[in-house]
Amino acid sequence: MKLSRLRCGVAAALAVVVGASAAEAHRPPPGYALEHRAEVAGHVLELMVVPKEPAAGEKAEIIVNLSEEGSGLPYQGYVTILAAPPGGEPEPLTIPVEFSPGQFESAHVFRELGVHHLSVVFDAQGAEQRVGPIAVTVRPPSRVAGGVAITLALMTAATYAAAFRHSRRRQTPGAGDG
Amino acid sequence: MAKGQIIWMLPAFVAMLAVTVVAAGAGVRSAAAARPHRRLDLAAIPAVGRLLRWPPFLFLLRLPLVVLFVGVILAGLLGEQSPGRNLATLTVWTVWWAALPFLALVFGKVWCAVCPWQALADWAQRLRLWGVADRPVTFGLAVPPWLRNLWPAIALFLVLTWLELGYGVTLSPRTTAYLALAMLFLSLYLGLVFARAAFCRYGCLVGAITGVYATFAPVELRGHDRAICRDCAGRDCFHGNALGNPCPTFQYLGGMERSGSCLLCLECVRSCPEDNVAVSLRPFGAELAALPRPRWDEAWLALILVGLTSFHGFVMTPWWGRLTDAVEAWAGLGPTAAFTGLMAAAVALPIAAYAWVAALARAWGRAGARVARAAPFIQYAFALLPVAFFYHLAHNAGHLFLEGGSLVPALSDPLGWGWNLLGTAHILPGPLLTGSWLLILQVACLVVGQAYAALVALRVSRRLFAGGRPARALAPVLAFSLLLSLLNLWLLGQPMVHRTGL
Repeated sequence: MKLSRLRCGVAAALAVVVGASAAEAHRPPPGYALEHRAEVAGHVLELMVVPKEPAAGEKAEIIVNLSEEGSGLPYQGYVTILAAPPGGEPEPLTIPVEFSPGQFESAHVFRELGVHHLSVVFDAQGAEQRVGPIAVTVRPPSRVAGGVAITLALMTAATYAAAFRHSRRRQTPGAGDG
Repeated sequence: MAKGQIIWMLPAFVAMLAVTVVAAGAGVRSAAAARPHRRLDLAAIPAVGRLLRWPPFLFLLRLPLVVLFVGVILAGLLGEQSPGRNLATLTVWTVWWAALPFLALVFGKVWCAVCPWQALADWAQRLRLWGVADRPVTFGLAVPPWLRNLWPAIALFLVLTWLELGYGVTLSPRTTAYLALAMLFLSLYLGLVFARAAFCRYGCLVGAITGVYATFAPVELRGHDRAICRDCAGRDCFHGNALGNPCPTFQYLGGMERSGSCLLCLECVRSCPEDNVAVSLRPFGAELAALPRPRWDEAWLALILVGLTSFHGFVMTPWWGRLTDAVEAWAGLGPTAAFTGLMAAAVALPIAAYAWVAALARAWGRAGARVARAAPFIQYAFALLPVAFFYHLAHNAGHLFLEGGSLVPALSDPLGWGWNLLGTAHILPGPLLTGSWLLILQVACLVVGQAYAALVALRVSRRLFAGGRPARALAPVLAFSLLLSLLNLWLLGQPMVHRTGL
């Protein structure tokens, strides 16, 4: 049983290593991440959600940086990230991977539209510390780019048809076209 | 700065200084006139010549890339939106975009020959996969004169850099796919409206960048004997004939001196009735050193590359976060506005400093009115190009060697849906090169770039200030190039954030 759990844990950790790879030691582009900073029990916690407003059904990366307030030394211990869907109860996310000392990362698919809430739990000063809830707004998947793509495709098709007729009307066929 | 960094940076800088002095010194001692370089004409080798003239040859090179291109778009639109696992982001940003300068270094404009979006546009317009199209589908309008330069491509390059670093397009498979579709649209649509490959000639940022980088490449396509070209009444390379389509970028081999606009499509190899087209191997950097007819737009592109390549590296260091935080706090700007301002500064400041250096070179060179005020600005820009290019190579070597292996599992599971098509879905090769070996390679790139910078600066000084004091004119340019190389050296020593990680 223990071995099975260990395997599951390792497999989950590996999945996160691969899945959450985009955020490795990463400061995402400006405005691309939701950033939250808190000072709790002598520790500074910085949380980033990438992208800032995830689309429903798409994966988001959650990055937690935790360090001691005075010395700046990285936190040593375990961190749990919890996510609550709109109107739902918080559930722990996949075990966060510690990419570098004090930097924990996890990946999560926010399935429902609306405001989700994230919390981070860690141990400090002999007690469980909790940061949050931190609101994450999940937007509907954008249709703008798809609409633009379809419009351009139709425009190209219409121009192609017109250019085709134009090229067939040419009096003298020849390789030269200009 | 950490002590460990100084230990390797100091000898690296000494090496740069040494190659600068040696290159400039060797150039001063050598004969003033540049000797023509020897070439090996590959098209003259019978088997190679036959292959190059074989009409389906290019199609066979293009086909796998078109298949991959379609796969990238499907993966980006339909696959799991995780940049570290999706074929679109890995292929486009981690492998292709990082490998592009290496391709240009070794094969020149070969990407243009096999470019999938132009391949699709060609096939759609010619209504055939290879061979000559007698009536291509196009209105065949002439490109307006004010657009016949590289500025459209430069503008696209700036937009792409902003999207890449400021918007984070490298993190979004779907946006990457839309970007690929946008390139296909531009290529096809402009081809339908304007004559021949207008987008390739003036609008394609990839073609423009590889065009200036191709001045280093040991590959060129030229008329073998210019006298034969001059006597050719039909100019079939330009107009096309029953054997080959007209040159897509309006090149006439009798006057062609630059590789920048050549797409290596080999149409002229097939159409030339005199068999007078040479596809040759030449020494590295031969075209840059000869520097035929430098143009304003190419000089600006070279200068923008100087700023943007270093900016690209800087954005991926931890210093970037500190700088943006400081600028946001100081100027009260939002993150996107701060990024945009800093990117503009990264482009403008090196150019402003360079303008001052070029003016100083002109004053110290004492050529007076014989040298136009703008000439040093245009021509010395190509002396800084090697600094930008070789830093680009060094920086991208990091991405390629550290992250390139992540393509292996993605090829087996291109949509991230748990497939294992090639049996490699769970194989994640480690970095191909790490630690000191990677650093040695990167530093070597910078040293080589600085050596080329010194050589080109010397050539330009001689040409411009032959009647004045070329050695004095050279001094500020060499100092500036060394300063840029030192900045790039420092950037190499900073921890680099990966595009998609491992």
